[in-house]
Amino acid sequence: MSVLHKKQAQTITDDQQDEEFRTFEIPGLKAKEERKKMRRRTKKVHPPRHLRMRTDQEWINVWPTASTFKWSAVPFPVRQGFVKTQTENEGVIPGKYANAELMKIPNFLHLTPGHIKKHCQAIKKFCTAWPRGLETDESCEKYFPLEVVESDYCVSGPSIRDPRARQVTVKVKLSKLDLDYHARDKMLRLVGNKYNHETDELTLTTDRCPLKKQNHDYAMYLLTALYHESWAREPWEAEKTEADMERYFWDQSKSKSGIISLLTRIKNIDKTSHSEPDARLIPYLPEDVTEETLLLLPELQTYKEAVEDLINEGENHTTVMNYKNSVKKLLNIKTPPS
Amino acid sequence: MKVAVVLKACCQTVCVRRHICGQLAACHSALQLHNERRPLYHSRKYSTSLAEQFKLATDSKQKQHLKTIFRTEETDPTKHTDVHEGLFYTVSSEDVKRLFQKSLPPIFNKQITTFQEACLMVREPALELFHYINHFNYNHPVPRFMLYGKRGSGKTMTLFHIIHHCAQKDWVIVHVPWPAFWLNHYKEVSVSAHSAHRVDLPYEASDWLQHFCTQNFDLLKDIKTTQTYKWTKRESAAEGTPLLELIDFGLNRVKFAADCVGALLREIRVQASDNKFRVLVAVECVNAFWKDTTIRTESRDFVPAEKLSLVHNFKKMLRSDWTNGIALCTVDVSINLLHERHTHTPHFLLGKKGFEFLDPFIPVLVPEYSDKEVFSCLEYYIDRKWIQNPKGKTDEGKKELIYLSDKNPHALNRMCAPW
Amino acid sequence: MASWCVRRYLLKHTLSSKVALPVLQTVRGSIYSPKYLDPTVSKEELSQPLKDDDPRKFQPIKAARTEETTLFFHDPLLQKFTNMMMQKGKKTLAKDIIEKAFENIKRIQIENYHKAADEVKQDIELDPLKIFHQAVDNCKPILVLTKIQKGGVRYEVPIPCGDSNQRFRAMKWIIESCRDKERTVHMENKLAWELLDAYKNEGRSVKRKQDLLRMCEANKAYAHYRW
Repeated sequence: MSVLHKKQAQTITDDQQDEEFRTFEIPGLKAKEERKKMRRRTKKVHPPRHLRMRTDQEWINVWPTASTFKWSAVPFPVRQGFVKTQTENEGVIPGKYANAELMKIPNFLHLTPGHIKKHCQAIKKFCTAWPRGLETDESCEKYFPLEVVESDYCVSGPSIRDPRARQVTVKVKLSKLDLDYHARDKMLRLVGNKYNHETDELTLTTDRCPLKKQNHDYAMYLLTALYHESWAREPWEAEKTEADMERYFWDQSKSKSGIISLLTRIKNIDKTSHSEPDARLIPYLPEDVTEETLLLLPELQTYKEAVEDLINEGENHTTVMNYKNSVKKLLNIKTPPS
Repeated sequence: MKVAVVLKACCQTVCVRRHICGQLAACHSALQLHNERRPLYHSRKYSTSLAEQFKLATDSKQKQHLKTIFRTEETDPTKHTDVHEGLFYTVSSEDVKRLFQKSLPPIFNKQITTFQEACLMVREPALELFHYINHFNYNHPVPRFMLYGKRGSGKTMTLFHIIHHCAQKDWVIVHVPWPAFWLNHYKEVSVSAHSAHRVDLPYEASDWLQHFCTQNFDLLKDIKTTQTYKWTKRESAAEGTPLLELIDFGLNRVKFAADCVGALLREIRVQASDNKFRVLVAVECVNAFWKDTTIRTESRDFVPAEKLSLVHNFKKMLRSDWTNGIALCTVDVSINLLHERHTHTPHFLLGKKGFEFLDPFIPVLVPEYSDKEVFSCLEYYIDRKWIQNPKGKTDEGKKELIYLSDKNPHALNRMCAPW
Repeated sequence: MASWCVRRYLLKHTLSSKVALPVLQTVRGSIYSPKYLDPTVSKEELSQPLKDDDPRKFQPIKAARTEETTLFFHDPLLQKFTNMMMQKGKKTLAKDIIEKAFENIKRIQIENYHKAADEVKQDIELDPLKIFHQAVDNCKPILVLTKIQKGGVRYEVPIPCGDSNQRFRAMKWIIESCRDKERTVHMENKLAWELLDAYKNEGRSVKRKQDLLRMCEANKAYAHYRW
């Protein structure tokens, strides 16, 4: 009650001070002042930087390190993406402006020739010269046949250790190792799929030991052990049967015994047949037909090679034709004149 | 000079590229002439537009008004030479009945009825084998020849041509039509009386005896056995029995048919070696000898074909331990399962055992039709009213048929069948 | 309501795009818009260069169907017949049956040719494709019956049969007649016999056409109910 009185008293005194008639304002009659539209502060977009780039600028300074593709800083036009239909982007592959595909993929704008040159210049003082005599790949392979691949890893994390760092790979070409036929065959059987037939390379990868140095020593030990084992002949290797053979050897096949008996029979027939003209007898057979004399004959050697090629290389037109011709020569069957 | 050098270079390349432009215009007409000498359907990859290719085809067709010859009057296969290559000769109906009736492929049998004649084409592999047959020293042990080739390339037909040739020369023909039937299409199985670890197929054996008898009836009258063959305690064939009697015994007593076959083959080998007669052993699909049959033993294993007494006896014929004969075989890829049909070459199909048994043999490739042969074949079909579609008789149509069949004889026959 | 909106959207979409698209239309059975032209199958036409105003220069062309070829034996009617014969999508089987049937027809006709006297020989048709065409023609009904309702009663009214309907009925009857025959006989034999019969105006399929025409003749009185 006292507050109300106070207020009234205040207003009365104000009025007395104003000396103006207090008008009654009908709400809604007078238009309110328009509020100022709250506009978001839009960033001022500068024109893209590449428009201001000179053609003779130093790219090294523009793009010093690896970074995401920035369309505005790359001065050349580039397109990336796939459009499925003609409606998408009017059937045209999207350009570089806000191209997510270009941003996703790694770019090598930080590794231009200029960059590399600068890196090399910087590192040069820490490097020694490339050894003389090792200019070509062949000479490197000749003097350094063994290749050891080791890797270190550095990750920005709480630990400097990486389990992959202990892995060691040793690569060597089998042609560089001194292996005879038996040793090479045994080596290939021992090694299995660690050998690449196309590149003649044996790859041994180890990570069984906790330290890289230990793994390296183990790999060297393994290689040495393989080499010596492949040269060694075990007593049970003599029990190798025909089914275990890696190649077809005519000398150990039934074909050889068959041929020898056939040729012996033919010689006996030729000795006894007097009526046949000489051309029909097999002319190249020696007088005394034994295994040793037959094996010396060049016709038999050709036949042997032909059979071995047929079975080892596989049958193709050449090998079958060679086989055919060698058998015809062996049995003195004449080719028809073409 | 420049044009001449380019012309020479162009002519030498296998796949000729023609660029129709101002500089090489002179080349163009010269190459056209060069290529026209070669048959039409060789794929020439030089033209850039279809329109030009067709224009060329029609132009060259108008220039060639030659009549294609596809037949030869020479019906005696012993007189066939290179001159007759690619031509069809007629086999007389008596010879067909005698030599081939039961053993022809069913499609060819139908063709004989439809065409009202049996014609075989004289082809290069057959001529090659005729040469070998004519110049071989028959004192030497039996040589083995192997016909191999893609499926449908004409191995069986070549074999028949050679059988006909040898039959004209009065040779004894030991022909095994398709032993692969013995592997699964057998009527009855029994344990062999002669040796307990072998298996008999009595009905198949008696069928073969009948077939052999029909093929060699005239010659068999004179051949007699050289030793006694004992079937049971009471039954035996004495020395000097004519082979016809032996065959009759086998046909009547089906139980002993397989043993009869063995005895018969032994007699043929022995007497051929004595220079009484010459023998042609013709086995189709010989790779079946080293396959498994579908006969199961007690232990549920499949019986290998080598255990069949028939196979055992025919294998003896293929060994080089007798003289005065020729062994001719075919290897076929069609008895292999679909995933085992990598190649059609002998070593793969025979397998290790088969190859070791037959080595050394002379493989003779039966290729697909050559250019000359394929046109000859098409002309023959047109003559016999096999190709009815008027467009099929034109050069364009023939080209299409050749392309679709890839010059494979069987495929060509099947391609032409509906049209 | 929703589908109408969708349709309208599609139409609008096509009108605004620059190139005609294979948009799904409501035309029954076709995934191509009407702008698409049929492919050229004849070799002679393909060898001719296109004229300047040829629509093939400006309009898109449908993809060729698997069975369409420029080969000399390509016949559209036969392709249609093969498709009708096909069951469960086994086109290869249907094609094989028809080819074997043609081979059988040829064999039968060639045998007859060789047996016939010289005067009659030239009258014997040996081309199975011609026999097929003639057989289909012989089975085509000129009139068919439709059910027209008038005054609460359904009447069977004879009306002329259009080209494609005639073809369809003829081929369908031939196939059905074959299928009705003995089960143990192969289709290629049955089809060969049926086609030869139809060629000579005999057999089940021709009988079926004749039965239908007889019915049409019987219902001649209702013909004016068509209008």
